[in-house]
Amino acid sequence: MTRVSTIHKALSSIFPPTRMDVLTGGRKSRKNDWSIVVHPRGDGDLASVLRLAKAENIPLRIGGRTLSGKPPVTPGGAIRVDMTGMDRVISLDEKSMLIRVQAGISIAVLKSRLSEKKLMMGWSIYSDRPHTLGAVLAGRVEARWGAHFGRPQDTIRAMTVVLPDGGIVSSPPVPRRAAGPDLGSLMVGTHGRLGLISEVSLRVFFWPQYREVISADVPVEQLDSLGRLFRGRAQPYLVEVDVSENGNAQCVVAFSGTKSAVLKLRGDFVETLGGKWEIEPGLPPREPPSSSSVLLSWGAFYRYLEVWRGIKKRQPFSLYDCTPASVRISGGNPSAIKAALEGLSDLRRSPRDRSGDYVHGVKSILDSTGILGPLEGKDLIS
Amino acid sequence: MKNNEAVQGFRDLLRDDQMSTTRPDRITYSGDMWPRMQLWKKMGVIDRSPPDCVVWPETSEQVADVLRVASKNRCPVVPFGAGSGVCGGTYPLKGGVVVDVRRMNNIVSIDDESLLVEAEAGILGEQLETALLEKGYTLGHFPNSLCYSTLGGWVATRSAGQMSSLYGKIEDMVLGLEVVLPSGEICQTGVFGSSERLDWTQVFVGSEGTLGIITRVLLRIRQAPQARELRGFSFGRLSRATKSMRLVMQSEVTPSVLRLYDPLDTLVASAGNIGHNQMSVGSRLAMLLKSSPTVPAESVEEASWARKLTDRLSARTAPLVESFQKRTLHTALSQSLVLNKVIDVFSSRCLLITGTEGTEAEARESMNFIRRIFEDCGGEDLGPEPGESWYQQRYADSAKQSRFYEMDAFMDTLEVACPWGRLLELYDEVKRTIGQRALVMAHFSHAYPEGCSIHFNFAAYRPSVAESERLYMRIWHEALATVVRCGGTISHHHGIGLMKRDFMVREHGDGARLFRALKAQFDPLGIMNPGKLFPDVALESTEGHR
Repeated sequence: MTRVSTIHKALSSIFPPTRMDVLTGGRKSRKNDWSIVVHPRGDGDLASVLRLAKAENIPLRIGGRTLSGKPPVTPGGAIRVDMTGMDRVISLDEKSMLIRVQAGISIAVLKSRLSEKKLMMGWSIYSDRPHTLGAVLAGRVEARWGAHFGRPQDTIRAMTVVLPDGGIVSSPPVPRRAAGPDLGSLMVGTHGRLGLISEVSLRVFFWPQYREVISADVPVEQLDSLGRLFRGRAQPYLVEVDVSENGNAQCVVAFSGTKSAVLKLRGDFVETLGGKWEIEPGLPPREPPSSSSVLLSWGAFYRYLEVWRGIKKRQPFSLYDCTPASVRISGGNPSAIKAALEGLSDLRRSPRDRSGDYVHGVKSILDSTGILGPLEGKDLIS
Repeated sequence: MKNNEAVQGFRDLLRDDQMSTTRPDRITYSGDMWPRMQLWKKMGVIDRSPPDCVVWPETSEQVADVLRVASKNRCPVVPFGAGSGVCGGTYPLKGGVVVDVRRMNNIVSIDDESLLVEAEAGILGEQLETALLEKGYTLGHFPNSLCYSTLGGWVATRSAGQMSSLYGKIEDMVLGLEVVLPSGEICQTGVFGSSERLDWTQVFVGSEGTLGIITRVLLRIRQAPQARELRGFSFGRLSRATKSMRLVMQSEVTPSVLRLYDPLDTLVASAGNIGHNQMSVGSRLAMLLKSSPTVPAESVEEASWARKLTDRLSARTAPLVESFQKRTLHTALSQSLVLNKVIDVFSSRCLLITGTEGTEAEARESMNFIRRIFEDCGGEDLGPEPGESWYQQRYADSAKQSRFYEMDAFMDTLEVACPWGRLLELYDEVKRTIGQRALVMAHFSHAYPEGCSIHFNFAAYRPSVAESERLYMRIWHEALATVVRCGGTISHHHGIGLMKRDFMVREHGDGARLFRALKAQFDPLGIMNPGKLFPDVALESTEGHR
């Protein structure tokens, strides 16, 4: 009996034939390349398939389809888990503004289900590609978010994770807890290499009573006071800025809340930043920040601006993820960023840790046989 | 002494005034404010598990040196802030060294442009807040224990302040940490100055000293409010009051304070407010029971009258009255099931305290908005006095429970949280569970758009201290089991320590495995605060402490 037949037979005790696809390489040279794609429906299926993969020491990969449409055949053979069948909304607690979903739900479907109830997630991903919620969290897919609603991971109120040995980490959704470390945070950005996210409870938001998006071109000098606009009790929904090499800053600001609050906040922005502002029909599309983007405190950003303005060959840059304490800068001149960080304490400059070593250490304990695949640089610094 | 070599190692590292092996110091550092330890003290047990020594390092490097010596000698390490925990988190289960970080109490920097403060972990809350206020800022973190708890302790236990609805819990404020690992490595977490990467901050937050010692913290701060408004509202039904809290938290306005007292707690809170006398919950409850064994006091005036009468009697015939009061209290608490039912029949109104902040106009407008919601839900505006009164007494409670213990009874608090949809079910079930064996009351605070925390106070009495301890543990186990069954968390802001660790598996499923993987990575020798947070396989022989 070949390896693929052995594994297929073992998987048959977990999945009916309709929820398994066997894909092989076809050509003789690829006779050892195969995948068995399984379509789990819940935690129990995931736990069973992980236990089997561990017992058989067979790699397990997430994703049953490839973007190119080619069969996802894996060199040497693997079990592939297609999470898209785990796409149920388990509960929508409107009273508590919490939604509990299976991780395979697509972002588009999730948005639409919330929309029916006049609810929203508060963040949205840049990519047009179809993404599941699990993929967004595990892959830390870049999302547009603002200080008010938070990053996707900030809206998680509970998570169910299946560990490589089939163990299930699960806790009830609560607004906050003081019950140990945030174990779920290890699963965000580690690409499913430590465990598989199977269910997520997210905090959701009501549609705002009033929403407005405005835009303007202002001289880059005006950004010297941008951070101060986040000091008040009310926060803009989103602030994004693209600065060209000649010092023109294209600003887009979105507000949400009651109409009176929005108008007041808008007034503060317009007065502080100057320029001629126009009302936009909605948020214009935008490229996500580059993988080398850097989070700066506002103080560091002002120093960056000062240095950048004195540079002859200026590189354009963009601002993302503005909060009262920080802003993310993508592009620009690395020398100016380096200069901006000089003299700051370590915690505000570049914290020293050995993230990679720590994650590898944890993985070697949780997944000693490495069935969930190796950790790569992108898992640690994306 | 079990850890002689380690102690000698610390002696080689530190000055004489930076370590102690004296019995008084070892006893002083043999625990925190866990009420069970009060019972042990009443039994005459003051040295059940003292540490072998106490050290007071002054720099992160010294902490690293201490941990290297501890690791080399496999000496248990218990990080210590101000000892204000109430779950046995700093109880040295296996002896070893207590590392008190209170001498590391400097503010490293206040960043005016970015609204950030960086401070050493041993700074007391009051010191930190005072320094910030001098520059016009606030952290917005005001736990009851502000004056006798440290920044490091807050972070290690995921503390919450009384204004968490507006400012968030401590974990919402932390942006980076310096942590000394048992290997002696000084690591830093956070995402400043880099592209977004796996951030270990929230792994160390809440780790209660089991992975390393937090020595420095980077936090966001805010401008101190120019104005604050406080008011009290009275509700005829608890369900209407919780509904009004939910509607406010889900609106566009965020109050700084929302604090709802259930009927008995309303009586007790009212009793304490009269005369602006700073009294702990325990003292107020004791007073209420002493003055009126059947607790029929319907109104604030009656409670006031009773208190005055008790005070006069106390002054004139103190010994006799004390004995009578004690007996009355014991009788009342021995019939807690009946007492709880009587209270349910005779009391119904609930007090809700709320507060707003900002500029004068913002605070006023927000309060008007909230008042409209409360009144729509049937709330009666009591004016600013109840709110102001609470504000003046807000730090009086947690350190002053000893009076109850003086009267041979015991009391404790249980703080849990759950979504709004299950809040009243959780309240009813836990109250019923505890109410079988103890007098119980609760307040709802730390409200969020998606749910709220409930803070239960319970008091009970048994003729012997040993029986009291057994009852105490039984109440806790039954209450926590009920919390888990109702889908709540076993701790909102006090942490886990030793008290609740056996319920962590019930709340997190196989989370214990994930935690042990973390533990094996950072603390492979298992020396960091052993036996805390999750049941430790190697420490299952602690039956005597359960």
